[in-house]
Amino acid sequence: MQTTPFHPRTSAHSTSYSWKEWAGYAAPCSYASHTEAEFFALRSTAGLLDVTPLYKYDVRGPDAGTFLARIWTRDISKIGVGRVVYSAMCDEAGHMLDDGTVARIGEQHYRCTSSEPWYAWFLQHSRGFDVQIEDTTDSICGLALQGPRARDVLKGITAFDMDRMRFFRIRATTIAGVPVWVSRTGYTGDLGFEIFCENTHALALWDALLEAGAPHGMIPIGLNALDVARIEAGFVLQGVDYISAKTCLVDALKSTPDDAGLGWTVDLERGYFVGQAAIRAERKRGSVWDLVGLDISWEGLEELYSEYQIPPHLAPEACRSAVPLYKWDGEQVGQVTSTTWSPTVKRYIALAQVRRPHHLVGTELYVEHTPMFERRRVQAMVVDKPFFDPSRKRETPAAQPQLREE
Amino acid sequence: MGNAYVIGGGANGIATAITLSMKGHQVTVLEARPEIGGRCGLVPDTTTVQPWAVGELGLTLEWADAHPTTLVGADGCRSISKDDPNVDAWRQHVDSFRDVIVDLTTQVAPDIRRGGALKTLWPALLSGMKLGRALGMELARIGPLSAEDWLDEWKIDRSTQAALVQPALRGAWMGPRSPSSALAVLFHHALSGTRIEGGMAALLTALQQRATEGGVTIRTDSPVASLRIEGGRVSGVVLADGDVLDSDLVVSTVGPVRTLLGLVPPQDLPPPMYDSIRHFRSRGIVAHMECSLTQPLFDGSAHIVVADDTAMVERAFDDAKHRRMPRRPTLEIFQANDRARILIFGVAHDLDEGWSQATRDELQGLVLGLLSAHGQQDAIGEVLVRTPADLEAEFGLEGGHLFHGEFALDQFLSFRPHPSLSGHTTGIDGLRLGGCGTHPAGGLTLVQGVLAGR
Amino acid sequence: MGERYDAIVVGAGHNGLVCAAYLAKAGRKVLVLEKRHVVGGAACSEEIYPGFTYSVCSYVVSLLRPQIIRDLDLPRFGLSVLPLESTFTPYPDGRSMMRSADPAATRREIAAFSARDADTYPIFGKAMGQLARFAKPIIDEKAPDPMSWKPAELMQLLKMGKRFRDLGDDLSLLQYKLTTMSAVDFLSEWFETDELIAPMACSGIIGTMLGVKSPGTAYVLLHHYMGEIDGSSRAWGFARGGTGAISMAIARSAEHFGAEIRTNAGVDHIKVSGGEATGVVLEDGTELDAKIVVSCAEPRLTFLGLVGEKELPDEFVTQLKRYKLRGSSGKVNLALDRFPDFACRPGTGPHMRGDISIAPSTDYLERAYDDAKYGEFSKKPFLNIVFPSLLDPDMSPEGKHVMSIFVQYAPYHIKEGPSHWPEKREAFGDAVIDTLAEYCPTLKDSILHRQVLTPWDLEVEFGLTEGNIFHGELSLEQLLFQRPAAGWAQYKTPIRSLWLCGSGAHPGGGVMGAPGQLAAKDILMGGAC
Repeated sequence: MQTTPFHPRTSAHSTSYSWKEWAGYAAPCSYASHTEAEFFALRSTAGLLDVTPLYKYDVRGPDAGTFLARIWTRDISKIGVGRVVYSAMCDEAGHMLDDGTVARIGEQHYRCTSSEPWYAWFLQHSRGFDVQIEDTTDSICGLALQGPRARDVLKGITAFDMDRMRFFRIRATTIAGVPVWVSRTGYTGDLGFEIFCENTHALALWDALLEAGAPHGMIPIGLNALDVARIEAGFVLQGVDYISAKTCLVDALKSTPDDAGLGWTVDLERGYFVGQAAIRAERKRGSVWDLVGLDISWEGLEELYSEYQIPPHLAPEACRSAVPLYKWDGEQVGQVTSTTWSPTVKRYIALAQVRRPHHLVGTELYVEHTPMFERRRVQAMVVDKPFFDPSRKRETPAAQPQLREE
Repeated sequence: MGNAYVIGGGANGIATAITLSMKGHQVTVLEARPEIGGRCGLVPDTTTVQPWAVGELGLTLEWADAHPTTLVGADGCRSISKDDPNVDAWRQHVDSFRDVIVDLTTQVAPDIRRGGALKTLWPALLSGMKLGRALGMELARIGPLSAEDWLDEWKIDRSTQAALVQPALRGAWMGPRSPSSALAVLFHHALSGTRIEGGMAALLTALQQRATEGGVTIRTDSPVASLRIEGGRVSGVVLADGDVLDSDLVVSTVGPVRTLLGLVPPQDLPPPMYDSIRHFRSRGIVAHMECSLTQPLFDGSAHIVVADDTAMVERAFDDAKHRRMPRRPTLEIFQANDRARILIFGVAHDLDEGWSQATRDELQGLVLGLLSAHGQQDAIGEVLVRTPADLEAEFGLEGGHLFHGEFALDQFLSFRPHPSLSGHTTGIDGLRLGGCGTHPAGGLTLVQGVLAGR
Repeated sequence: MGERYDAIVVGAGHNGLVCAAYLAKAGRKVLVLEKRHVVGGAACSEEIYPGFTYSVCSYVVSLLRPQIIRDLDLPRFGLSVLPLESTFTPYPDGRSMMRSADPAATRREIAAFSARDADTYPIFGKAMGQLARFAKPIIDEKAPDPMSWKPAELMQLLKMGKRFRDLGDDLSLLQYKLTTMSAVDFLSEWFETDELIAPMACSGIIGTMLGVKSPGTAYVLLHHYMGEIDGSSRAWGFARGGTGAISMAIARSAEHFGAEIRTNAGVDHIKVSGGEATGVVLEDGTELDAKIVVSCAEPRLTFLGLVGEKELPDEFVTQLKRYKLRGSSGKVNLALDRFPDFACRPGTGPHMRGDISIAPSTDYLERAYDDAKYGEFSKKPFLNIVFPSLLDPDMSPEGKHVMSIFVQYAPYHIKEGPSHWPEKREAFGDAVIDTLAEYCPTLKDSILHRQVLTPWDLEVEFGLTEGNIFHGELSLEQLLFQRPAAGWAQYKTPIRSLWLCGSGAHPGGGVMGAPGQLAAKDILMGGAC
């Protein structure tokens, strides 16, 4: 397997030898044998996560914005310099290929991130556009610094005044002298930043952040902790909560943006973009699915397990094994795709694909649960996402309403 | 009805214009060159022109039997005539497929997409049933064969085979040993047999006359630079000189690749359309030589193939395949009225060393040397050679291919140029495709002209 | 007069053994007659050089039908197939590419040549996998006759048609293109790197007298992907003990079910009386009778050799004479006293534990074909190599190795005439070694023994007419309902009680066992014996 430029540090830190493969790279599941400490750091102080394996594409040129607008569902041609948007990407049939961020780093310079590789797709659709597309996946490394103390960690060492860094913005600056791009984005639904730099600076950046983070209680965290946090944030994961049409074998299992709960990313009424006609047609018909949040009844679980005379036994980690979801009369109306105990809101929560109209908030459904080898069902209620949404996620201490750019 | 434009003033273009005018449209043909005809003058073979198409266009022409082919091989000239019992038997066998194959050309190709127009399937099914079990199985068996294997079965000697096979390979990227070259030979011979008195000139004159009668305007020296597409429909034609002609009906006969990838602005071509057409293969492997004659070539016959046998044709194809200067090309010669037009087979459009004045001269020298070796040097007057690169540049032929796209099992009938471009449509409203790059295949049949206009 | 058997199987090729085993399992009294001293036909292992076991001809297995493995309990009788996890291609400029079961590693290897192709490779694999799902039933069912009106045939055709329509527009067009295009043209619609297209394309020309740029060579690409979803050996596998171990396992299973197998018992002719096969006469004159005779031998040899033209209808004879058998392959087996490192990537790592192709470019492959077209063996041949000794230590003494080299092109019809092949055998072997030596500098010094098999040898020794390894080219006009002849593609022959069960019957060649099994099924269903 490949290793990221941070590997000398991350591997030295690992006492659990718990790694997994992420986009061909070795990525830590957790550094210690228990995920808990890492997760709690994420929600109480700060956690540092190596996100280098994200696929990254730099798109430059006079037509970069209009080109990207053609393949992402958000109208990229409208975003200003220094802004980041989260978007879906679809195929001609309107099925989700991936979701990711698009950042406008410069006048004619954009950077996309995604969970799957798209170089060939980008090239294929760039015909007629004056753009150059560079796959920077292996040349740029990245760290996510997330948690309530994330800004504090950066304040002392970052050239730009982090108190003025607004939500979903990006800028080039330096951290401890290392040239970086910092964006106020993340996958935890909390205050956080993503920091990208050239590979050569990786270790210097890591060391600087570790040093600055120590007094704030920042620790490196692995993917297990991230998974819990992202479910709390209500964020979907490609390959789990929906399957990319690129790899999905069966048409019926593919998802449109509306199916995946990402319909809000679609700027429909504008010039042509890939998937537009199909999405428009689907909206006329009405989509079949939605992606909802579920609050699985703790009382229900206790009652269920008491039949077996044991307390509820829930995995300490997020679970990605899909289980069926039923309505009151036993008819299956969907599947639960991501489940976790949320230490933050003290609920057993899940993301689920549900057939409409059973997606409405307040609907009572039943989740399959298998204690002691028997398939049973527990009540769950459809609730709003995110499950956890702290105001610190969006607040900017020094933001002035009149300021548009910084 | 508003103005309709036909891009390309070749035979098919004029034919399309006539058909459209018969439906009441006000048609203008836009031809880039100073005269109409396109590449038709290069290949003055009217034997594949379909009589039914001529009839439907209302052209008055005289028909005669096709000229017999003369083969110039290692042992001199001989005419491939009905006297050879094996050839005769084979021709009769080909005739048993003739009706069905001609039938196929009278309708648009069946739309084989799911949800495709069922009404297009019926004529093909009925034609197929006409064949019957034995001939149907035979057709399925012949299709994938190589021409050489097929003609070997009919005990036709390999030199005679060359005469029969060479004409069919003008539009294919195949040699006589390539699988499915038998199908190319079958199609060519099933669709040929009669010629037009007065040849290509008579055909073009008749077309022009009929077009004028129908109120069609033919504008020469009017190259088209691009099309204007708005909201998924064509709204105008942009000429090279900047003039914009408004229209919501445009039929382009200059080839599917040139049309969709050249004339349609890239940003207006939906990616699925781009995917459909970008792999359409049009690798030209024929070069052209035009010369004036001071005396008849060889035995003076109108159609001559210069090749010892199919192995020689295959070797010529090998040279094209490997993108090298042909060592011993084979020739197909049309001569009439002190002029000869020679198709030089085995000449790659993407020659490794590239086409330039030097390589053009080299090719010319090769062909003249070849003709000299056959003692024909005294017949040749002035010479003009066009390499595949020249054919592309001068006649707008993609890849230098004479028929806008190779004949192949996946590029004929419903597959030509692509199943999603069925019925001569393009997915862009108001833009249609005509010309040899569409159903049924290459070769000058005039069929595409008629079908595109319907 | 000998005893009367229910069935006599002529030829103990793997298909004949499969057929015999199924018939025996159904309680029939079966006799298998093999002219050679070992069973297996071209799927045999022999110790040609002391201490070294060669898979003499066939050297890899792919689509050995899983139901046959289970029905005949082959693992119990010694079948053990190891997956070939990788495919390796060295290039003259010192670069190389390994594609393996690890998608991330494969991606990196391809990306070294083209980032775009690296992205496209898994997408291509997915599409091919979907087509393989569509095509797989074809090899597990007998070939339907499209011109027949019988309800069973129509149902089968309709099901096939429905499966085709279920593919959807894009995939069904892709299936059509796959069937009609050349391997290079087909792959060029997906990939831009010639170094990737070349080794992928070469599976399309195995056992054919066609080049990678000839139409009709693309569909064999599907073979690889069918193996992926087959549940027996993954895409390509190597049998422990060599390919002969597969035949041995089937033979043991057949004997377990009561079949009798005799080697060194060549058949001289099949007894036909009143248009019906009644038994066989051996080369030594022994007469053996049976209710039915099943031939595992190649069709032309069977009908024109063992039966005789005068017993057969004219139309059938015409078709048989047209049946294309033009062998194009040869084999070189080497015993080596040490491992011949590939200079571009030395060592016996994972890249050597799969198959290795000398196929550096499509031009190279096409030129190899051109040589053969005009009656010469390829001066620079396409080679497909496996080191069985790296996977199975029992194949050779420790530290020493066996190198199994499949060669194309070696046209049976060389310009001097096929009988002149023995004179050219050594030159042919030399061309192979010289080509390999460019990649493995220490090869020549480490050769202990060399066995060279030309198409002529394949015909003389193994009964493979014209040296065609598949009992007839796998070209479109001799497949499915046209194999070996139109109207006779369902194992029956114009001679009553004579059946065909070898690779000359549907679905064709390769070590699949499918023709043998499907023939047995038809025989039993029809109550023929």
